[in-house]
Amino acid sequence: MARKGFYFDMTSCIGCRTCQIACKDKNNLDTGIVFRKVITFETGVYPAPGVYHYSSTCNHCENPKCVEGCPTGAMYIAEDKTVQHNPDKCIGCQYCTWNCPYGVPQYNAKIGKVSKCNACKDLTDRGQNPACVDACIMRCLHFGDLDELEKLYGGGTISELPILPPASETNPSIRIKPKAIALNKNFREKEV
Amino acid sequence: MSGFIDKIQNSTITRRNFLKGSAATVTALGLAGCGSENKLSSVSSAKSVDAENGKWISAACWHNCGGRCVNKALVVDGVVIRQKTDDTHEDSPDFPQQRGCLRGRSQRQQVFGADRLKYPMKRKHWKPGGGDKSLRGKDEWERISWDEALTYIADELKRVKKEYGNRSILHIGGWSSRITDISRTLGLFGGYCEYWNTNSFGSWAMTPKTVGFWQLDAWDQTVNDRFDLRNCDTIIMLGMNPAWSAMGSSSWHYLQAKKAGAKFIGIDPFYNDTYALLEADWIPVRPSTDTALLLAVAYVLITEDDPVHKPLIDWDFLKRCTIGFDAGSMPEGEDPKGNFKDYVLGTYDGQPKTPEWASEICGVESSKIHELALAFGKTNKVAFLCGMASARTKNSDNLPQLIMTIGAMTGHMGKSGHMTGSTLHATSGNGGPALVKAGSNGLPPIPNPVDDAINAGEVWNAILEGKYTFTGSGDFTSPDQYQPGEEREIDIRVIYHSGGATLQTSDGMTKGIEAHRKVDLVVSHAQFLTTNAKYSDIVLPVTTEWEKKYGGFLGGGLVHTGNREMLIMYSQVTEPLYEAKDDQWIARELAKKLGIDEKEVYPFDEKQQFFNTLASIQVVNEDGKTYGPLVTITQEDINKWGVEGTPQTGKITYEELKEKGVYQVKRFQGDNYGYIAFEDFVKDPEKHPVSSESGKLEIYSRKLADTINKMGFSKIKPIPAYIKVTDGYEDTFEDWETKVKGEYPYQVINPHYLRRSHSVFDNVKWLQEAWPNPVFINSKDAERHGIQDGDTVLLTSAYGKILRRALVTERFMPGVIGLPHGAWVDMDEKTGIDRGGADNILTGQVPTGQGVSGFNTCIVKMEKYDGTPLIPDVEKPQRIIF
Amino acid sequence: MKELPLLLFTLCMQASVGTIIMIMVAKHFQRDREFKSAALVAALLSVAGLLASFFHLGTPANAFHAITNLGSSWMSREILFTSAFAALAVLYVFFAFKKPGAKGAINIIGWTAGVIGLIDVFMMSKIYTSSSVAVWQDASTFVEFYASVIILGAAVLFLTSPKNLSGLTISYLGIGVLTAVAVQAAFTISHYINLGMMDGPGAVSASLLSDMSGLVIAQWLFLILGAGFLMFSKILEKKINFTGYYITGTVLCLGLIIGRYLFYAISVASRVGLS
Ligand SMILES: Nc1nc2c(c(=O)[nH]1)N[C@H]1C(S)=C(S)[C@@H](COP(=O)(O)OP(=O)(O)OC[C@H]3O[C@@H](n4cnc5c(=O)[nH]c(N)nc54)[C@H](O)[C@@H]3O)O[C@H]1N2
Ligand SMILES: Nc1nc2c(c(=O)[nH]1)N[C@H]1C(S)=C(S)[C@@H](COP(=O)(O)OP(=O)(O)OC[C@H]3O[C@@H](n4cnc5c(=O)[nH]c(N)nc54)[C@H](O)[C@@H]3O)O[C@H]1N2
Ligand code: SF4
Ligand code: SF4
Ligand code: SF4
Ligand code: SF4
Ligand code: SF4
Ligand SMILES: [Mo]
Repeated sequence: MARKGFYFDMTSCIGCRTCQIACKDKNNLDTGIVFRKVITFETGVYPAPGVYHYSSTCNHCENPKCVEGCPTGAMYIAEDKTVQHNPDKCIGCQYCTWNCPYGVPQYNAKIGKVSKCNACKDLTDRGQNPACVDACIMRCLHFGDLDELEKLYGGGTISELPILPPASETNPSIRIKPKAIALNKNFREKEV
Repeated sequence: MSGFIDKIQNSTITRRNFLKGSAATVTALGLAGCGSENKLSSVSSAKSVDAENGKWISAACWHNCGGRCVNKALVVDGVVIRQKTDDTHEDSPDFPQQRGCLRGRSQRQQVFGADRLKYPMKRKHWKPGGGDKSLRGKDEWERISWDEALTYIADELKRVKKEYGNRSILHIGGWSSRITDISRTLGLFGGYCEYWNTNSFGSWAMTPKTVGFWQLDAWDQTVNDRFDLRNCDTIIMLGMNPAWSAMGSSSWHYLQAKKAGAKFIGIDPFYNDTYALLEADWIPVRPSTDTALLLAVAYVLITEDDPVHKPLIDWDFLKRCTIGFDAGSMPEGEDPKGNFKDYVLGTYDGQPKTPEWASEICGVESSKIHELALAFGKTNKVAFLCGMASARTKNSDNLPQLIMTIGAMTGHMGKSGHMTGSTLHATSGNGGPALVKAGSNGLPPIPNPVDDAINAGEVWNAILEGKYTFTGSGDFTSPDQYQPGEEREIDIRVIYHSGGATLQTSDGMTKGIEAHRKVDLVVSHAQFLTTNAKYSDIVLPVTTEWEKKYGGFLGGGLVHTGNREMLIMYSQVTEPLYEAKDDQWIARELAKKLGIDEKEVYPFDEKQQFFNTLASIQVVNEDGKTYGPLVTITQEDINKWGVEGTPQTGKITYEELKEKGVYQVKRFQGDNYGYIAFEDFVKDPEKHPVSSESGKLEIYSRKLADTINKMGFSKIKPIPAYIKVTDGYEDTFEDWETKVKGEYPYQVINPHYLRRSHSVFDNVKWLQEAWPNPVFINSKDAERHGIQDGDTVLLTSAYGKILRRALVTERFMPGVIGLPHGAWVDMDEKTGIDRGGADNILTGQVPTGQGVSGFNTCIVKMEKYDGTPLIPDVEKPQRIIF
Repeated sequence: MKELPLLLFTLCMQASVGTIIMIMVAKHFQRDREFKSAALVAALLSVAGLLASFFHLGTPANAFHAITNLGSSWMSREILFTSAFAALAVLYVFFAFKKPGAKGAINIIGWTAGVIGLIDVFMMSKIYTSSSVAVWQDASTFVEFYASVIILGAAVLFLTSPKNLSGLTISYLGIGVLTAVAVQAAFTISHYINLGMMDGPGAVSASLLSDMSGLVIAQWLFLILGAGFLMFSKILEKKINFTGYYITGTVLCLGLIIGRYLFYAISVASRVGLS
């Protein structure tokens, strides 16, 4: 099966965080747990500042360190090659929270387990889009066969940015169409 | 498959967990359709959440939020488990889905929030006549019955009417006192004193119509439709931020123009996300100084125009379509020396309005002003667009006129690819008549026998001091507002809030709180313990749109109601929560207590009102000119519903509309629905005059100056001239000549912020988590005060003090502070400092010009706060009372 | 601190492994001694460590799944080896107390436990070095964990059996501790220096560390004090009294506890924007 993942057109993203909330709604997440998180970065200095946003979630990596390290097999690669989590097996050791270089799995002390984006598998299995994708105000999120997405929404994408760990660590299934300033190593995270 | 099973199990767990959390208690409760806590267990024990068996209901998203979107709620066993947005058709830039924003997506968190007001309640120490009035805002609450609540209110209204007359009842219904249900009851009761403001519009409230900058009977229809944006070479934006303030598809539409090759320029103190998206050339300008900047633009255009080698000005346009530009085009009876051109050149006042002159005031380098002026040149296809933030400033009455003047000088009007005007909110970047027109419920209006109407800039002072300036009745859209000012005595005894978040969103909240602590009775209709409710004596819990039995409609109008291309019909999602009642029920019941026949208030019921509205919705025909009914209604339908009406044939059945939740006109490039503003006028100004006295665009407007100068708040000239702004940049100096800074050296503006729609949604935890609401401070200024990200900062104006956590940024101009608009006040009674960061704690009661609320004109001092630091808003407890 | 269970777990296990090994070493020089109380402490430590680790789990009821991913998970492997080691430690005690005669079996069990324990500590280190937490990825994690094995093993012996230790044994233990502290110090210093030059999570860790410099000083003061004490007694060829060994043992333990606290306290997981 072809590799599935997210395509993110950073050049169109306005950082509105609708995707983040759509995800919270879809997954009924309490405050403190966020599966998709939009993070804002500033570059440059007045009067030539830059700002860009990164809508982050699980990258459903090809070599997922979360799966590799999970002692129970609760974190696993599903038949559609997305990375899934089985709460029935999870012991809540939180090892995956140390292993994922993207800080994706989140420990929920109330249930004693971790959880993370499941690529809305229930929806995609029925041929629908993930909730975040259909929510995006600027139509800059897409999900599916990565090569097809590149054809549909434009090539020239990358899967590594100064704000991200080296792609070689886990081989993330992500295609980012970056803003030029996002390649700048001098970035500042800002909680707008 | 296993993934799906996991998912279900997962959601069961999170849901059970969720049920313990804030919103959920009520989710279970309310949706079970009962009014008692008992049902909680039965729903929370529901084993699994089966999305497949749920029903998607078209759910209202009804706020004054800058958008108008399709919102749907998935209801399973009476519980809303999820939401979604428009998926009624394939999505494309030409025919976009009406996608909702983060606020709409968390609507269920709001409706079912644990902090919903559940019962009518009374402030413990309130007694007829007021009781201990100083306790308002800090007293305990007592649960009372509806009958008690309405009796208290009715008795007090009767007493006050008898002792002081109807004038002593101040009824506030948001931007206009005449629009809420209670206005009907109070009208029949003998009337009430009105409150009016210009809030969104600033000086676009009255100036545009007066000077002829007005199309389709509106101020914001002087721009072409969204397809024509793609024909522009340059789009110059002055104070616009659709990326935050026009959710829905506006930003996406602008992006299409960029993709089609348009270059963008953004004139703004804030390098906002709109400019970032469009890669605009940012021209940082100080707040409330656009007049100086644009006068210098005019200066460059006038002095550098060369019809042959460097044609910048469209002289033909000026000659045919305007008056007052130069001595030759002045209206009869006026001194020719008063013309615009000579003013700009400084012919008579000795001060040419050069870029250097402007630069000192507005902060834009003169070379940049020069560059900007050339970008306006007539040979370029230019859209000169502005929001209204720059006009929500003091002494800005000439600004819309000046914007028009620049557009007229360069001929950017009436042609494809050329447009000039204000555009914001749900219609941002998409001018033109509504293609689907909202219907009407057919209720006859009930007049207000009292003619008093107090402007927002004086209302709290009027209560405290017993006098105000009367300038006409009604609201800013009323034909008889803007009369010569007349000082009147007034003795307000009752404040009745039946809509709007006025104490929170109106100028001078510190004074407002004081005023609320003076009167005999304050009543609020409220869904949460909002600022209005908090400072009230009796609070009546009202339903949200999700609870309305017949649902309703949104859109089909312009600006604050929706975009021109669609109309939404929403249905009931849940029974009313707890003891909440809708405003109309309250209006009826209160009428009964006041001895008024309820039939007089509402001659027919909500069902008939709904039907009337449904039946009168109009939709454009394919010719793009004629309209017909939207909804097909049969005699059978009419019989079934038991309403009065006549069958009609439209484009969609009621059932289909209800199921889809939206009717959207399908658009494509070259369809018949395009719109070029001023097209007829520019072709033949004599045959198609505009709204001004002269029928031309009035660069010199005698009427504008007369009207405003007679109102008495402040003075202007008939031409757009520079006026020193009260509390403006110049006032940040103790001595402007020697440039010695004064007590309040910083300017504050209030960007409309994505966590909320004004004050609405501010209490939703998901949104607080996503948007923490800092105060934006330029890095240089922050450095001067030793302020870093996350530090608690104290802002002090002449009117109040607030705290917020700092966000140090390069995106705001030095000297300018961005305080997001609409945060709920959270007053620390001990220190008198607001921990919520409410913008209007910093503003005062200072009306100028046409009664403009100059929110973006505000000066403060800033310091790092050495008291207890603020915790993030998301960690604060919800305001749960019962 | 939410990693308190892990702090206890790693220290207990390393102490237990160290103790078993030190017992075997000591027995090599003093064939007549059994060091039963030390063995008992070792077994108790391993059981306590295992128990502590459960407090770290959000869902201990699922723990039986934890060794199902031996193919790739260092944690899975570690759990297997930890359990095996603990079982052997308990078995060792059982034999030492119940079947003191079975010297051969005791020796085999002891040495096997030691080897399994050393492998376990390797896996334990691997869990951290292979994670995405920058401060842990360094070789100093191995060094710290193995140094802990030596120092804590010696400390337990000092604390449980000072009377039974011969001068020679003490010398060897002393040399072991000294070397361990010295090597650990060398690696830690270079690790901290590296940390200071990193950006992303490493930089955040470095700044956390500089906020806790008081603890860093305390840690090394204790370790050097403990090691120095042994060195001092060695040079002077003076026999120190029992209190001296108790103090040495306690001070060394304190140094390691502080060190382990810092190990967790300055850990910063990698995430977007911190890379
Ligand atoms: N400092 C500063 N002040 C500003 C602005 C600024 O930029 N800076 N912006 C101004 C602008 S542009 C505007 S438009 C105004 C907006 O000012 P408001 O209209 O006062 O603001 P909202 O928060 O939208 O208030 C709507 C209120 O109605 C309540 N409500 C919702 N549904 C119902 C219902 O069915 N019945 C009743 N009775 N109540 C209901 C909501 O809970 C909320 O309290 O604010 C203005 N104020
Ligand atoms: N998220 C959100 N969206 C909203 C609302 C909301 O409360 N929240 N409210 C809605 C309503 S009712 C309205 S009226 C609209 C308002 O919509 P806008 O008027 O677009 O909103 P603002 O954020 O006030 O201002 C837009 C831009 O004007 C800039 N600006 C402020 N003062 C000046 C000035 O003096 N000169 C210049 N050149 N620029 C200036 C600001 O920095 C900002 O970038 O938003 C609507 N949309
Ligand atoms: S992003 Fe992290 S959690 Fe997701 S698959 Fe990759 S390593 Fe695992
Ligand atoms: S917390 Fe759960 S999913 Fe994560 S590594 Fe441990 S067992 Fe695996
Ligand atoms: S795919 Fe689903 S779970 Fe993942 S981020 Fe998007 S909405 Fe959230
Ligand atoms: S919804 Fe789209 S535009 Fe908004 S933050 Fe998410 S990715 Fe960016
Ligand atoms: S823009 Fe307004 S109508 Fe649209 S979803 Fe957001 S809050 Fe609702
Ligand atoms: Mo507004």
